[in-house]
Amino acid sequence: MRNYILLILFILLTACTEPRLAKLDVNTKTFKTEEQAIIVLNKKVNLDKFKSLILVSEDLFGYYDAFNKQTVQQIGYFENVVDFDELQTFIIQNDLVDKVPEVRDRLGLHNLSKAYKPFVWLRYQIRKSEDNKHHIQLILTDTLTAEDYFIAETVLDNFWVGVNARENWYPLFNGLIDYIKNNSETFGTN
Amino acid sequence: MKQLLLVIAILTLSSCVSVLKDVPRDSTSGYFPTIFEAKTLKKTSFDIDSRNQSVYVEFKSNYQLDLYGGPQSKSATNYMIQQLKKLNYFKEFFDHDELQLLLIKNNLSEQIPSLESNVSISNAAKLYKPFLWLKLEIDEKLNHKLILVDPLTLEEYFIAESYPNEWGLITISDEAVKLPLFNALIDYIKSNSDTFK
Repeated sequence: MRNYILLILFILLTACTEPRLAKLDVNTKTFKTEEQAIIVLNKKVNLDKFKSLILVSEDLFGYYDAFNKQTVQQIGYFENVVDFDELQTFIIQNDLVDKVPEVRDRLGLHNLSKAYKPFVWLRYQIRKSEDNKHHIQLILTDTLTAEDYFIAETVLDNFWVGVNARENWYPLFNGLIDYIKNNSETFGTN
Repeated sequence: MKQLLLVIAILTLSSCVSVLKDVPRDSTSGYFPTIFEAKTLKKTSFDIDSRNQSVYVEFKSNYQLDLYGGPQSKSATNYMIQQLKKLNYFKEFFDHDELQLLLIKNNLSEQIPSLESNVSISNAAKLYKPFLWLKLEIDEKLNHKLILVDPLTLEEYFIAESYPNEWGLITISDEAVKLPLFNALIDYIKSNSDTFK
């Protein structure tokens, strides 16, 4: 019975979910959507000193399809775009294991940014607002100070418009592209 | 089937049942307003007044459906902190993220390279400050447990448990499963503290 219900749920869900494709529009250099994310935090920094490495964590939707990482790669600003697994490979290949025995949370990331060089972490968080709506937030964090620099959010609406790339992820990444533009002197010049 | 009823109940009633909405204590009884009661499974006496300075708050869910915004939900820890503040007893609170920031600020990230195990939380209590550890855990049957741990020894001082209501509708409302736990905690603090009001 339970499996049956799960199956129905699954079919219902797949029917309204579009595949998430990381495809940057060549003309506008943004992801194609009419929606805009709400920018919650927009801190002025010199982003160029972080551009050699970015850690991208999975979003909180229970499956991993490399979408988030590919999207950041397509933006074409950060030199090394890695997920948590690849970050460990990166540590081993750069002989940093002695100084960074573990990278599982902010503490390990802080140790790595001290041992290697400053880098940023792109992560997701779900925020529940007063009116019981859920929002997905895209957050850019400095791993050295653990300070957040940029936060954008979109509403997760399962009932009416659906949760998909056009409504949720593309607007977030377009917000990030704007943020990079405003805080980098090298972005888009090469 | 029960699961489906649960989901439907939650969806339809989410507007009229309060979930993760902090409420004040009743001014005459001193308890949070609920008709439900939790079961206290363990209450070891200790001098809680000597340790009421700071509390590390943690939320963990093993239930298959996401009811509170993720397995380590920020909404849930925020709710716990808001509710605990109303006891006017503990002085400061931090959650998983905030404790990591505090350790980084205090240059302890090399001694404590991650906060993912009980041993590392114990180390944090030894090296940073002797906080108490309060966990709200939800198991796969949706039972809610509130556990007070001394991270210095990893001894559990207090455990209370509440159970979802059988007929589903108000299953996980604050009144049914969370407020009873905080009321049990109030009883526990009362019997161990000279200063709690």
